[in-house]
Amino acid sequence: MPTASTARALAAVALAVSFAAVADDAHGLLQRMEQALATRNYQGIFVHEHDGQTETLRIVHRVEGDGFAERVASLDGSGREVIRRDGELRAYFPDQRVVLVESRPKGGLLFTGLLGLDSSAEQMYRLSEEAPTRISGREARVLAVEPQDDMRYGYRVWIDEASAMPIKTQLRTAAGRVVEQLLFTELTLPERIADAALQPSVATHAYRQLRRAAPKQAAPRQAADATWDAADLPAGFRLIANSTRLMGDGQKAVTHLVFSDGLASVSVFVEPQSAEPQGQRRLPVTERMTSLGSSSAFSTEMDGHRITVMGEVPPDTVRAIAGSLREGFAPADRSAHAPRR
Amino acid sequence: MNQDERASQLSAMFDGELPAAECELLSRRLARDEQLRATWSRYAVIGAALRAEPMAQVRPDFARRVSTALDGVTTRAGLRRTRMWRGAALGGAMAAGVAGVAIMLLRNGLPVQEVAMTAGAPATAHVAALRTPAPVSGGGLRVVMANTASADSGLAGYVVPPLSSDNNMAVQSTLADYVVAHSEVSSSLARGSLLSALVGNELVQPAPATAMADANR
Repeated sequence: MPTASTARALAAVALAVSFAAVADDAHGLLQRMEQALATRNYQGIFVHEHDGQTETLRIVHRVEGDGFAERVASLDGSGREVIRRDGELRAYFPDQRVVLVESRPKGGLLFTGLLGLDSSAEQMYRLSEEAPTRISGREARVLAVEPQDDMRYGYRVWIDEASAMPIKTQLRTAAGRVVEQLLFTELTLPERIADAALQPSVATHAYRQLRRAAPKQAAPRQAADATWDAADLPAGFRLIANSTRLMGDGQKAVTHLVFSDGLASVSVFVEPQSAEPQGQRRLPVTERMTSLGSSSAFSTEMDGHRITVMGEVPPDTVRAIAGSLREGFAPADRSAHAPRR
Repeated sequence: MNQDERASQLSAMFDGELPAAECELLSRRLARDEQLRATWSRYAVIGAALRAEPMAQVRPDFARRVSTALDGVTTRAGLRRTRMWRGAALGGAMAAGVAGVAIMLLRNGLPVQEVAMTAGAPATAHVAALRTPAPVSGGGLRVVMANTASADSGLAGYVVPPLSSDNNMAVQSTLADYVVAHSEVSSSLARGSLLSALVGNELVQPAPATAMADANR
């Protein structure tokens, strides 16, 4: 099932396997970085830039047993902050006097599992190390993950030589355009972080609290259910997960497919179109493309289903994946039957 | 320090050539100086151009244009462009399934919904138990979170009113769920921007009335 466990599994294999063509140094550096992120306490200030907008944020990250506690606060004067601890994510909005609470599975909030490189990524990306440089007052080594075509993004990561912590990251197109970047301007790695540093900076007893329950997994797929597959995916992408989720407050079952090229992941959500209420006019089928941060999302209709494709890939890629989908049949029947319509 | 010097300092920080102590001071100033943040963005673009990186152009109306493109339908005119409205929209969308990551939807144009916010004293943890399924028909709109207890119990409620018969509205209301589900299978690097957007300053940019009118045709 494509849940946090899948993500963790991907992250686990990520750096345990190596690109055959990758220099040991680059791979070793990546391993050091992952190790540092998983085992070190850290706190600092970073600037995030995307689409011409910048935010300055403070982060406090403390390792706790096999998990962690993390607090990220905006320094823009709004007082907004997010604290993740004990299986809960709490978002504080002092300007609205609201705290939002959600159960969240364990897993990295910001930097953990920075690059989930899978062995299958070898065909689609090239990992290399560039000339070292100085950044934010530190000696840094620079890793480049270059995509082999324009159907996926690449990365640059500046890694502190002394601590192996990432100081700066960039998400880039195949042509080298920077889509998004993040830069630590202050970073320390304290042995201990006090509880007080992980508490909200405002008194919240008078806040309105909104809580959302954890999402549910739907019942096992029924034999008669339609299945979905892709016939002509962009190079390197393959189906890695297929499940059914209950969404919309548990009111509807949505098929969730996950495609991956070994690094980038793309989700496909399929839900049946509901029957039109009596007397209502059905509007023409529409297609929509939009950007969600550095991700792309594309929505269309197919055979009475609403299809939504999203992932941290260029817009052309989500559109191509949407175009490759087909409603089919159970995998066991694949060799014997034509697609069911 | 004059503007040119400040700009030079910004450029140096972006290129990693500014001493750590100055970086810290500058980042603090960035946090409280809107004009400086705008300048920083411009220099990020200029720096990329100098390095022959065709970086994205600064697009100040990004949120509105994405909102228009995504929505197709949005609300009718009469949105109250006030901070209270922004707060109500935020809360409503959150309750609809926007976990931490999905505020990006708000920032970049979650379907702009006119959200009625009931008066309420501080709520308690049992708000979740009061969530109700969608009783509102048409376009898949629903009560996202409603007070089903007595009217004076003081719990917060966010109601998305039925504004359109376009069934795409239902899709938009579930997009937040999709983002949350996808975030569980994406690398944390991709999640980074979503998180920072969560605590960032720009949340909801209501589409101008003209854009909304066009979208509703």
